[in-house]
Amino acid sequence: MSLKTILTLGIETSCDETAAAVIADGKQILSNVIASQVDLHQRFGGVVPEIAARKHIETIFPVIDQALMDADVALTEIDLIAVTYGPGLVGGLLVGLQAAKSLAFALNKPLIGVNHIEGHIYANILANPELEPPFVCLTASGGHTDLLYISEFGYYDIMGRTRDDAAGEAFDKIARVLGLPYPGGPQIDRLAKQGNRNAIEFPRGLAGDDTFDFSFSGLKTAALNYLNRAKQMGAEIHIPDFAASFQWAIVDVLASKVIRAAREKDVKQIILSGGVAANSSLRAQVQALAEPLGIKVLFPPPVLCTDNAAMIASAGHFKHLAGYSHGWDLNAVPNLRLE
Amino acid sequence: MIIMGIDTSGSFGGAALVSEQGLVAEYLLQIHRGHSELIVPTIERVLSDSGIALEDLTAFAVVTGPGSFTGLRIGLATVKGFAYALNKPIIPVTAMEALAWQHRTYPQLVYPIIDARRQEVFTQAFRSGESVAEAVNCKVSDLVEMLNSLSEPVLFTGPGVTAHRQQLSEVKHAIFAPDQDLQLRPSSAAALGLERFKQGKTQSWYEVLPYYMRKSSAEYQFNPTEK
Repeated sequence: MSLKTILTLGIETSCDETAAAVIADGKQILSNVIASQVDLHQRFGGVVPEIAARKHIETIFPVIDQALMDADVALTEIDLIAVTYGPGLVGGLLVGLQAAKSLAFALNKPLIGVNHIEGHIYANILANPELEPPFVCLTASGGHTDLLYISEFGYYDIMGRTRDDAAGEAFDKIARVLGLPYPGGPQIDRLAKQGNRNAIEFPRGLAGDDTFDFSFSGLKTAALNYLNRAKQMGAEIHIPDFAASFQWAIVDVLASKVIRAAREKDVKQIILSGGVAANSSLRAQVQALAEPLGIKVLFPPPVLCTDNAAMIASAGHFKHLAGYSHGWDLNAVPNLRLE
Repeated sequence: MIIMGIDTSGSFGGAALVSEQGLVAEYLLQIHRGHSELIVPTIERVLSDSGIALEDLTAFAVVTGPGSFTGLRIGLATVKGFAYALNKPIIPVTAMEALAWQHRTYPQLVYPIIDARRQEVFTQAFRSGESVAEAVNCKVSDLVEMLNSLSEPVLFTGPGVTAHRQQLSEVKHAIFAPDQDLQLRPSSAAALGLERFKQGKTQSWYEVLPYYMRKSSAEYQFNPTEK
């Protein structure tokens, strides 16, 4: 019996990054190539789906080729191919999915469709290979906000999720209204550092102890109303105070719920993932609450917080071990949720 | 020598195998669930029914457009993956070229019509399978006016005929291909691909690009003057 290394090629094209990666045994990054399109979309103030899809088809195979070269692995040595099939922009998803299917079919290798949100959980495993379940994971981005309990790799339980807007969506929306460049989350984070988070009292959605779900639409409306009122009255807005107070309303809720979830499941590890996990205030707050409880907090390095294919490959590896695979008729699911 | 032809540019799609002896196999299906769900299972079927392995193929011909933007990318991603994995060439074929090839024995002008929405079409003039003018994106009314200034008969073919038949009938000497022949056949892409392969007109996986013939609507809105 041989303990051969399993090599996974991961592909990710759900938004505005064309990405491919090669992972050994689900945990070791051999290569991680990300071709960002941010420059292409900046003049439109957000991602334009058709422009994104056009760039993906131009870039996807050169990116895959680069990932294999960086890993010093021949395509024929790849054991399985993992690809994001949702959620995301359908045009982009289909480019990555079809590339993955085509390669898997030509090589006669298994195809594993990965939920992008589930992929974000595995970004932490890549950054901390010693990490073993059980743990609680808060994963939040511009498209989702989920609180998960992972008892075993390849499986998860949903403890809570947003009932309306995603946390990152609220950040981006308010940043846009403030005239900050896209993506807006990091801009608000930067401004908030110079502001007073208690300057403005914003509402906390679903802040009670009866649910692990989230709601950010009320906060978004309150923030927009605050700006409109100030504009009508000709009042000057202290932008850093506004940014800090707005951010705090999100961070306060996210942090307290993930701590409560860890206590309920009696786990000693919390992981943060998704674009919002890069928020410095969220990281600081979760750590401050976790430390006295002896709970360890892990978050991926910035490169693994944003969309990447390494996390998709890792998730695909563990899904494959758990017995999952997909047929050639797998379709993209733009509004795919964790089930 | 066996060429696979793939078309996912329109509301029909499929795959075919063509050798120097002619058609080996062809599947052409109406797309209901989407090109992505359909195309690899169809390719698998065409190969297994013919007892031919993917690695036995000489090259891949693909319809690069114009057509459904998403459909074009699905077709291209499919052949790029095959070409990359198996180190084989790709033969890009436009939708107009493949459609004209189906009527190459017709001695007079052939105009394949692809619907471009907004009362516009993509079209190109062919004679005996060879193009005699550049492909254009024009208003149907302008095409009718231009063709009425000619005195020779014109054969209309292509999936765009269905939507514009009434207007195109205003052309004095208009002839329409039979209904079932209006659809692009993957075997036409493959047969034309075989000819081009013999002439060395191939591209590699990193060269082939979709032939959209149109910018995205966001780019038009951003800068209406640029085309």
